[in-house]
Amino acid sequence: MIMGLRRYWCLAAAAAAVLVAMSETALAQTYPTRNITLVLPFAAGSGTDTTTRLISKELGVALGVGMVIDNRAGANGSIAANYVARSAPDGYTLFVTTNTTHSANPYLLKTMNYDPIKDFTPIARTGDLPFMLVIHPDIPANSVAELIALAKKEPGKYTYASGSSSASVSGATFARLAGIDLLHVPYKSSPPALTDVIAGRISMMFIDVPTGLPHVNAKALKPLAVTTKRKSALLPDLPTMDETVKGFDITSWQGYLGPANLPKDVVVRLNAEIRKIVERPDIKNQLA
Amino acid sequence: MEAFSGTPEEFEAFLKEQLVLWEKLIADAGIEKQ
Repeated sequence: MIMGLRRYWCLAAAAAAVLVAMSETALAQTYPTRNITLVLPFAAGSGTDTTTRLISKELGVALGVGMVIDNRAGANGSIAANYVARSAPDGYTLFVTTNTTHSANPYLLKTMNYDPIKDFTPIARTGDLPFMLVIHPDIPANSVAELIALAKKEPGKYTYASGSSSASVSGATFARLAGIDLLHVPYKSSPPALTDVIAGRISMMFIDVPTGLPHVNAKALKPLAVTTKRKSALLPDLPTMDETVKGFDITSWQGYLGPANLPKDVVVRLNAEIRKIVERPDIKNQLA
Repeated sequence: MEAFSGTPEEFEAFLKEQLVLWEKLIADAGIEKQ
């Protein structure tokens, strides 16, 4: 009797496993059949938002479905991250994010409502985003060295805004390595932070190069240096932070993830399409 | 953005490396958890 029951439960468990595998395969074979939502941890107008809209337009064409951008800024991106982590792993809710949620938050936030590794399925990295230090044009400094000298002369006078971990960590690293006293003013996302720097309410910020560049070109912001150890192709004459502040080297990355347990075939499909898009020369040019 | 990509496995390995890197960056910057 006991052997019979045990055999029954073993067969039932095996049948259940086969059914799950079959449904995952069926999902992958028909995927996608409806619009896909891309959740972003930052507001519209942020660097991540701009690059996502470009890539997602092509991804929608490749997959034959609409792509819906869902900007859920707040709590350093953890609202968006938690939302995706709790979503069904069916390929219809994906996360386009950066180092803010998946590299920095575990060390910035006292309470984490998601695990960046266990709660997600990595799909595809899409690139690196260099940041640059920009200051309000009225600040009488034309180099990082001159800015440091000013800040040392008047400790606590100068402020830096941040709308992402790349910006906040860059600001804190700058202050510590340069030995200066700067006041940090955090924002939910980069666009409102940028608005206040341009308005002169905040002295400076570290902003991603593509987002800051139009304002630099319009002379609304003064660029001083890039955060990466090598210069940016977009601003080849701009020095690196490391040239003045030795050891400064910060890069932001972007990528696509899904909730944990996303079917392998869905991951493979999405990865293949995203890679084709970001490797296209015309897309690389537009993203640069 | 400097656009490039790779496999999901490479991305997963990168994510784990980046967690180590940013832990150090944040500690070196003297940032306390909020």
